[in-house]
Amino acid sequence: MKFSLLPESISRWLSSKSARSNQFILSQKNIYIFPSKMGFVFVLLIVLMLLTAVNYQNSLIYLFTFFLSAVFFVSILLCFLNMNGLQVSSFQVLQCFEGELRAHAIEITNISKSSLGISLGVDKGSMNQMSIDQGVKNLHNLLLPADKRGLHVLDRLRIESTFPFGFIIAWTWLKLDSKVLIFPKPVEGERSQSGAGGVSKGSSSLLSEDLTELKPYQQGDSASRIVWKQLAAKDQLIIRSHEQGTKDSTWLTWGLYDVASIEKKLQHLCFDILDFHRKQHAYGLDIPGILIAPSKGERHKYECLRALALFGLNTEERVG
Amino acid sequence: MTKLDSLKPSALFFSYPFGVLLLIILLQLISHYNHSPFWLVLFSTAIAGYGFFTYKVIGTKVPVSIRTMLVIIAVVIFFMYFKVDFSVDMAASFLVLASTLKFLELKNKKDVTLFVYVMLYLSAISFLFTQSFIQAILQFVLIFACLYVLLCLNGDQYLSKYQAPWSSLFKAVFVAGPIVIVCFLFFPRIAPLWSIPIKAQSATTGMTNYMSPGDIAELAQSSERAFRATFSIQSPEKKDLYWRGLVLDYFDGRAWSINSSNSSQRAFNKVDLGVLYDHGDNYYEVMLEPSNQPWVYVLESSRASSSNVLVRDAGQFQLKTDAIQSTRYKMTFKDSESKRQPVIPTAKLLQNNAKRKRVGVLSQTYLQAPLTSNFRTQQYIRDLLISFPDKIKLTNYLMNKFAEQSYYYTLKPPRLGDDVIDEFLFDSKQGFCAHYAGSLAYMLRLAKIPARVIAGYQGGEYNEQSDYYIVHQYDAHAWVEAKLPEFGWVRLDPTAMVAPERIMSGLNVAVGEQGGFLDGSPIASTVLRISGLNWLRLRVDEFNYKWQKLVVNYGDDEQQSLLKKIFTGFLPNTDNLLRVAIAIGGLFALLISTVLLFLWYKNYSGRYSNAEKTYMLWLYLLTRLSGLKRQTGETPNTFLLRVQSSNYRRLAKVTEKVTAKLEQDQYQI
Repeated sequence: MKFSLLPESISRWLSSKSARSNQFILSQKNIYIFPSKMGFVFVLLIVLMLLTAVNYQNSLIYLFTFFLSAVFFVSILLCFLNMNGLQVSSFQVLQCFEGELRAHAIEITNISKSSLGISLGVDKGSMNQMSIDQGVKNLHNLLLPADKRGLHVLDRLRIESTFPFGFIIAWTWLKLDSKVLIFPKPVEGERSQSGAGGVSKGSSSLLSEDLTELKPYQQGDSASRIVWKQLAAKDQLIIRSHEQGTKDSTWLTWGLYDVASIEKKLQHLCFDILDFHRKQHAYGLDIPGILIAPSKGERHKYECLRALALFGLNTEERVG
Repeated sequence: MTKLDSLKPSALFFSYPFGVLLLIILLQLISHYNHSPFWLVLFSTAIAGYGFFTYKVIGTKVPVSIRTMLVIIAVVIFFMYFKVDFSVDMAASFLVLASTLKFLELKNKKDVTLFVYVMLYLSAISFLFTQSFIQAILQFVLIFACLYVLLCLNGDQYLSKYQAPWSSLFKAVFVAGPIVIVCFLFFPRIAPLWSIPIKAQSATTGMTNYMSPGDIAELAQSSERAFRATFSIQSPEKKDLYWRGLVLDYFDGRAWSINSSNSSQRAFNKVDLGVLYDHGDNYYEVMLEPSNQPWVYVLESSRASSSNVLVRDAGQFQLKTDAIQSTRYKMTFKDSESKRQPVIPTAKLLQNNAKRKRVGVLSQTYLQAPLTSNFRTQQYIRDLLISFPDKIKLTNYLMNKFAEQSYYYTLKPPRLGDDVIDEFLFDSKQGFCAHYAGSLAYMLRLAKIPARVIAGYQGGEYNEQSDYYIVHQYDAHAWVEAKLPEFGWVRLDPTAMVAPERIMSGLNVAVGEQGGFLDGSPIASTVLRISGLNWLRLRVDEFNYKWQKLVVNYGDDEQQSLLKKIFTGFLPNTDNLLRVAIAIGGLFALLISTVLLFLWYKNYSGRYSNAEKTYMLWLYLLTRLSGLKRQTGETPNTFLLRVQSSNYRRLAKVTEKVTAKLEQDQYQI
């Protein structure tokens, strides 16, 4: 970004230095305030009026001009106070699929008063306006395009307001720690011959396994299957890999699809996970570095999709 | 905006307060009604109504074809009506027309905002034409409406849920109030930068620099106010109020006018006082109504004490600029030296301003009399001079002639032929002040007595309750000043000889039932006759006068005398500019400190809820009262238990309440 001395750039630059946080309270430390474009036009109008007053020595026009300028100055104060004390937080992590819109759950409250005409967004072009009643928690879903899988963090949140008269704009850039998990896009894939029938080799070998086999925890395993007693006794993470109905369970593996691209494979896997989930089939996920034993249910689906979403990303978070 | 957007405007657009916008246009048309052509008002009203109808009732935008058509029609009519002579009058009409057309073309927030800005400017401009109190109220309502629209645009679109906009509007106005008053009082008044005439056809009112008898008869039809005057010590009697306006020194055989060949010299003789003079306590203030002329009306033996008045020769004064708006000036009486008065009825000695060395010019100017007509009068004077070689005696005779012979005061004299004075003096013998003054001055000049006609006003309506005079156009009067040996300039009023009641009681009494007074304005004459209405009229006039004095005419002079009053206490010898600087600097320091204090408070108050604030305050008080202090890490409830177990029963009760409030606030939202 080019650095310039415009208040807008300064505010951006300053906010980029600040720390990321889940919660912000707006105060004079992070609110920037400056006349808006229409505010400058208004100043021009006041100058024009003053010239008229001077030229025709007209007291009432003087009075009129002073009144409007006083309103202009008071609106600086009102604009600031309208935003001051606003609490912005984001704790919930929502999910979506690649190609959809991701929703950042942002909560805005003002305990001391109502704030009117508050807009928020990520850039000046697309802002959503709302009003915040005193003491009411406003949950706003900020919708942004989800174009890449992974865990996305909101780059910077802009909150602005031109209340009361539009002469003055108050704004802030917050590095709000608002996360969205984006799963790969579900795309139906051609299965390779070896995987025909939907049951991989791995599954048959699994059929002979003891139902309550214990095995060491691996990354990506569901936390719900950890044997906590073992942890207490041996200080070791052991998971239970038994599944009900493993008889007709399916292993979804890397080699199931005929495509070379990793992203494509993830997309096909995603589709199949959703498909099995819908059909109430048990399924397991076996991709490089991740092994999730076959199971069913919402929780299991989430584990698998999360594994896909974060697959191969060295940084867990993706800022954008 | 994409193409789709412009065709199908968003729902947001239709939530704009078009009702208020329509109201703004209508109010604007009312306030510009007086100086706008009637077709324009009608056209604009129709357009505004049509726009409102399409936006609100039909719910679409106005089609481009209709818009274009209306613009073309408007432009054509406008230029056919106004041609191209530029004036503020025309500019205001143009703005009114253009902004109502813009109303049909509103697309988004920016458009509406600009529209509101233009409306605000129109409001300001309307004060160029009228400055009445009613107008000010109207414009104040308009500002409110405009700010309300801006609030709707920038606050919340769905106002029914939140009532806050009105409250923030009042908050803004409330805080702005003191700033406005201080700025108004102390903002330095700068001299005008350029001048553009306000009206294209500047219709002047009152006196003109050319007086034919018909002019004054015309003024007698008008009940308009010419000016109002307040006296500092004691209001003089009606009969002594001779408001000198113009000195008419040139007679062409029919009418009196200002000598044009002397005018360049006159301009040279203007003296610019420039500063406000304090000439003593015996002064009077005149509030002149807009006349579009520079003439001021002053009583005899006055000195100018206002910076907007220029001093001219022959005891005349004039304004620096034409009185396009109501103008105030202050005049101070000179100390009157009691001198011997000449024995001539109505004569009053004037204090001489004329410089002695210009006697040659004087006699040349004031003895000019055309000898090509009015031969009977010339012969009459030649005969009189034989029997009255003494100038004072001759003047005395001429004055008494008007009283004794059958002269008749009327506003409806018969039409006169070419020898105006001959026919009036010897045949018709009917006329009013202009006839009498004109013929007397002519006769005096023929007798080699320097004489001039003074056009001005005589008398006025006395408002007893507020002790001031209202001088109307129908008080217009003309009289004569003559320069008599030994005495100098002397005022002579032949009308007072013919119709003394004109001077004692006013024109309506003098004319009586014969008509001619206020024939042109039946409403005004009816109001004068019904005492209740007349009483009301005077009260309204009183209020308007106060409004004009305090607000409309608060100018440089008033500001300077205010600063003088404020600063004589502690900074008696400072420069005016420094005073203004100190006043404004002090004001801004005050403002900024108030704002900072307010911000500090608000910041503090924004961090904690009310219950928290009360709780903390109570903790402080409790420590002070009992010495009980909440420990770090102690929850409010455990602290409450500790307080309750202590000996302070009453304090414990309060603590219980405060803690309960806090709990409620923190855990139940």
